[in-house]
Amino acid sequence: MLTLTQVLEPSDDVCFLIYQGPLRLIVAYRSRIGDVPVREFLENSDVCAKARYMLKFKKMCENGPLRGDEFRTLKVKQHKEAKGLSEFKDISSKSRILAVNDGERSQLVLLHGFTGKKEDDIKAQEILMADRYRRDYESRVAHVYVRIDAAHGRRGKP
Amino acid sequence: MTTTRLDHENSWFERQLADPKVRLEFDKERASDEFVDQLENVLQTTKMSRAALAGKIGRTRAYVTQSLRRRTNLTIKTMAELAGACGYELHIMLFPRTASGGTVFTAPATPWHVVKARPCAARALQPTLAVNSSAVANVPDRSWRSEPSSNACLQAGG
Repeated sequence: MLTLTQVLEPSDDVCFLIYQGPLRLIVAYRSRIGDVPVREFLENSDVCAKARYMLKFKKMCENGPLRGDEFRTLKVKQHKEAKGLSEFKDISSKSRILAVNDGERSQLVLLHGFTGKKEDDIKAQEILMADRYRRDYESRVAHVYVRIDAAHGRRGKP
Repeated sequence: MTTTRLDHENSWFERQLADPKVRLEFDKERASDEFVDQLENVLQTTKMSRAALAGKIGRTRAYVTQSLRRRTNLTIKTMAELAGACGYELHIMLFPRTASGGTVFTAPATPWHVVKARPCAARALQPTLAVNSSAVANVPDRSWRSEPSSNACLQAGG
């Protein structure tokens, strides 16, 4: 039987491991050319903001759901593309990280991070960017699973 | 899981935590966050409002809200004051540093006299731990379990 490493190709790396805890796995979306937008955002943030986000990731993966002022699901009122998206909030640095829950693989995928937030509403361009990453992730991850299942002689939906 | 290829590598979180600057900020944020989470937990359990807490310490509701949002750098005096108003004592404990950043305590500890009065208290806490363990049954990496966590029982009982 083929191993996963033999089945997968470099372009199949659809995500980048951020944190693995007992309750949850957090990954960041990786583009086709290998860029990880959220990693770049976090590494360009100041060290305090980065530490606060790290703490939120750790708490979510080890202790369970976060409070509403730390992580929440976006309201779909203004932008229909926001459906299914959630956000990590950091009030002090006025920044957000948009994420989507990949229920089938029990992982939270960080899509897009940005600063300059003042109020609760989010600019349409940020939501569209996250939605674009989400659609790319979903199409690629499904393709990877079809090949993994085929290599293991399994059938059906990935 | 698609991240299987990365399982042998450290997560982004662990690599960041190896940086002394980030580690120091993370430790500071965690200490502050632990206090706020525990206080919120107590307020929720005792159904005490922020206004009632503010009244007890002779401050405004806005002050309590600001403190709980971590916008102010809390002093030990303030923390003791807030904890005392909720009927709790503030204790500061040191734990050996771990590569994964240690446990984040989000609930107050079970008082020592309760544990002392019931020698089987640790055993009584077992179901709670068992529930948590079942949640992680499908997670391949369980290295977090081997980490020293002397306060684990107290945390689970809190």
